[in-house]
Amino acid sequence: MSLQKRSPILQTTKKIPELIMEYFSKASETKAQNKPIAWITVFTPVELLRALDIYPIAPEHFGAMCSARGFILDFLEEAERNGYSQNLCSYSRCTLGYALSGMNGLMPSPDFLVTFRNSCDVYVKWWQSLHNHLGIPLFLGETPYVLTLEDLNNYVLDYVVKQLEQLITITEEKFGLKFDMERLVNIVKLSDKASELWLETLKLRRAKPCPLGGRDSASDIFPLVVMQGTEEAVKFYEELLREAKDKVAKNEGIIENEKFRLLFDGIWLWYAFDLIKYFEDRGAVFVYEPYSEAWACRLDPSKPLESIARKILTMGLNVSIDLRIERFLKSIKEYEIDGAVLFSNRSCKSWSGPQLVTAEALSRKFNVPYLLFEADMADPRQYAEAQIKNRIDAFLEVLEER
Amino acid sequence: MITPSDMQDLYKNPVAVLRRYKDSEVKVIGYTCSYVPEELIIAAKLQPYRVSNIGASTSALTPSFVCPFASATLENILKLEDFVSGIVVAHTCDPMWRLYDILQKKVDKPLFLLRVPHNTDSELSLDFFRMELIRFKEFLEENFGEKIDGKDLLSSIELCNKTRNLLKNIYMLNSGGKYKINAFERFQLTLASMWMPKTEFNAQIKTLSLNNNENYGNVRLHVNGTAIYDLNLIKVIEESGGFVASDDLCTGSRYFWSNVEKLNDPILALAHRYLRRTPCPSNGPLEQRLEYIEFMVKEFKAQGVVTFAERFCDPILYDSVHIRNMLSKNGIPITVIDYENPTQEIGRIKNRLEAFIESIGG
Amino acid sequence: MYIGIDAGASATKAVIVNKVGSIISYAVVPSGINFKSSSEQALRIALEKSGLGFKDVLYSVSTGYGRALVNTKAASSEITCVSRGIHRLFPLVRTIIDVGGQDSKAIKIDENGRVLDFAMNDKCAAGTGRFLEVMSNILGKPIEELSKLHFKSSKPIKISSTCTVFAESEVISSVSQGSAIEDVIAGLHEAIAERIYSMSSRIGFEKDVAFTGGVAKNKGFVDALSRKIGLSPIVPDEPQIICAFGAALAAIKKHSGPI
Repeated sequence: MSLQKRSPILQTTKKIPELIMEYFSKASETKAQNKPIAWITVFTPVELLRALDIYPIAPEHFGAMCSARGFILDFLEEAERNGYSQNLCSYSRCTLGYALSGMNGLMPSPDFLVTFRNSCDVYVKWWQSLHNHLGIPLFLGETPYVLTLEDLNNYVLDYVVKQLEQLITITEEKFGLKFDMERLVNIVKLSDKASELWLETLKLRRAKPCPLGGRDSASDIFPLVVMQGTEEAVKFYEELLREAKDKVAKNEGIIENEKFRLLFDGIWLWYAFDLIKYFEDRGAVFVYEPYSEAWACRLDPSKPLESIARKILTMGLNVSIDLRIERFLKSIKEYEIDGAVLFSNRSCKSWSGPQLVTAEALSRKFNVPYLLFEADMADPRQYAEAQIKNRIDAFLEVLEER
Repeated sequence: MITPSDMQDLYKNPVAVLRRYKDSEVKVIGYTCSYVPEELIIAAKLQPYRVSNIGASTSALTPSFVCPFASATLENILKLEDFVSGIVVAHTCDPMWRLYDILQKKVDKPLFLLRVPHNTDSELSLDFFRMELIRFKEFLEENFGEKIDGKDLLSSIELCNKTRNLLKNIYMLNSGGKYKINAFERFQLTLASMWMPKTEFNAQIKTLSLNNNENYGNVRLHVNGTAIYDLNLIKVIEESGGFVASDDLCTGSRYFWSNVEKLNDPILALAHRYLRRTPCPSNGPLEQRLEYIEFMVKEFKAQGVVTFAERFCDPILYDSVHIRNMLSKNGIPITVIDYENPTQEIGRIKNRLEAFIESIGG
Repeated sequence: MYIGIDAGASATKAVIVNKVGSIISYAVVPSGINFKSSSEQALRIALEKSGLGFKDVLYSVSTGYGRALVNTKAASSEITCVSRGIHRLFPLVRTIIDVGGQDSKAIKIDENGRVLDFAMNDKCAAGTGRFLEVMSNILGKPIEELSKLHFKSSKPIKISSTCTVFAESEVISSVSQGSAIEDVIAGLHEAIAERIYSMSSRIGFEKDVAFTGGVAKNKGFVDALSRKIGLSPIVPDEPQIICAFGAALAAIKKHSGPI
């Protein structure tokens, strides 16, 4: 057991906090120059907004950050005081509380609200609520649930492409901007490159011992959350890939005695990274998370709007359960996974709703033991630490027996 | 087949109707939501049946924080699979969407997800929804063998419009401050229309003599919420000294408020009516919803609003903040009552209602 | 004379007033599981104290959770009753925060004591007297002592759980790690205060603000809530009987018209 209090992480990962600060300070500068800021839900086509010179910020990331740094409670309480139930998504309560208390923190106030309903339907209610409180323009896009791969070539794709075109037109009108297709193509190339690098890096986690753990991937995703299409994002992932390759070459893992290789299904508990350490201290490392993989998606610069449409249709939770289970189960073999940890996240019905079905597939098809526990991703008040650690102990004992 | 008194009792045990259909070899399509066009089902010579959460407890297949409504609906679908020939789920909110995922793994009968766009006022969404309805039409034709021809569709549209008109006439009896019919009765009828053949329903409604209400002078209230099948929630308002003058429920006024227009393309007409009907908590612009509620309150002279917010119902919980703000600007009192299981919590709910009604001046 | 009976989930209170609404006597008994017998018991004790007989009762009103089971002439909700009671004693009060055994409420009233709006927490133990009961059991200290120890604290612990059951674990953990008992108690009071503040914020805190309910007898809790809201509230001498008092006033009104 390591004497360090925190999980070991890669050198490149340590650059993330600075990257985040730079991103926010650039946002403030942009605001100061009276240029438009957009609050977006993730998987919204950042590449498009960037090509229109709109600065995108993701309040979901802000919620994760506030939770990780210990100052989310004020915003949650403000939202609750204004009548928002504690049973609502904690990211949304954080954003609403922030918006209702003057927006005097890191995240500059928005001029434009843009969302595409893909991860969940709560996006719609949350962005509608912000629109109602702030009175600024709202673009509400819809990416229909992908039932079969045919949907990526039929009227479903058509619908999304037309909405992207509409977004361009509306943005040009409302903010007096001019869309430049060439600019978009360059941005798409950069975004594609960043995705490519991250996917390659994730594949390296198949190595035994695994060079990049859960604490790393939790931070490393940031540039693909809002910085897609920037040079900085590509630079970061190039460095990260180099370091990870180096570790594999030297046979260096996150921890020395890697006993169990685990899958984590869900968003992280942002206020409880010590949980990852808890696993690592007992020889268990996280080698695969659908959450980490979700941020990367290849794009085709020769068909920018079409490939962006396909990207936002297929990211994360918006594809059929069969396709999601397929992704899941593929990883079991490729990453040689011994067990799965499933986080039933009170804030995310979209993810947690069918989780039991996924768990059944795991145990039935692959005979992989799993641990399921309930908590919240960002609200530290909904966390029963002692009870959860107890379950983890029991789970690890099961793995030990095998 | 179903007599008038049966009709009024249907809400107690809607499953009994399913048995009758099975015995008569009528093919039933279970559907979850008012966004599903019954007209297409009827034109395919099938009987639509609205699945509810009545009679089921929550399912072990969903986590504790998924709303009890979706969980109990899931339980019902699993229990009733033998009685239906097919199941249609509408994608409106997260739990109902994910219900489809779970059902894919748990039922054998043909299953369809109707993808309803949430940005209902966009022209692009209308085009998309029209294509979705064509896909739904093809699902019905392929799985149940009956080609849906234009004439059948036009006549089923006419049939459903008729039902909606009859229900709306009954609803409007209490407009302008009148106390003509009590809500419990009109909800019994609205729900009955979702379970029985509409031809029968339309014929029998005309033979009913609807009671003149005894609650004259009670505090007039508007009920706000989603889909309420448990009529104890309506009864308890009336027992606490209130009179439910109007509502904006999926199982209330929003079911019948607008009709399908006569257009050259009946599928487009359906898409237009179903997408652009009064917005529900899950889909549609918030401003339009607030306008609808404001209209109802004024038209029916409601003195206060009762919002039934089911625990964990995200759409209602977000909306209720804005509804409350809008109503206080208009000086209209509102109380938000949260619940999980109405039958078990009826004492608590009554307590709150009495306090609210008393504070308005009952 | 007139009687008001408040059949609360934890305690049943009976108040006897004369025809101008002055309190003659009152009694508080545990509710147990039978509201009929607890209300009869409370009434009997109050009558004994007053020296009057049952035949002198002109009208009676019940309120509280179990009011339907109490044998009185009429019933009225606690929200209305506590508002009436407070308004009679302190006519400048515009906000009432009532914390009972199993629920808590925030009520906004106008210059005539009429209820304008209210918020309730009737589903969750945290933020009610029940929370303190559970904790007092764990700590092995009666609630009166909790109140005294509160003021000895210099560094209240922070309890993060919003659920009573999980908060229990946190308390046990704190104590075993050596936290001073007064800091644990002050932390508990702050936790309830936080819950109540959150529930009440929508109603606002227009002055004067009054605290009522059994839990308002706990000076430590009153201190925590005052600091959270940022003002000094009015706490009646007997905060637990205000609701029953309001019911008694309602009895006068129903019998003979307004006073």
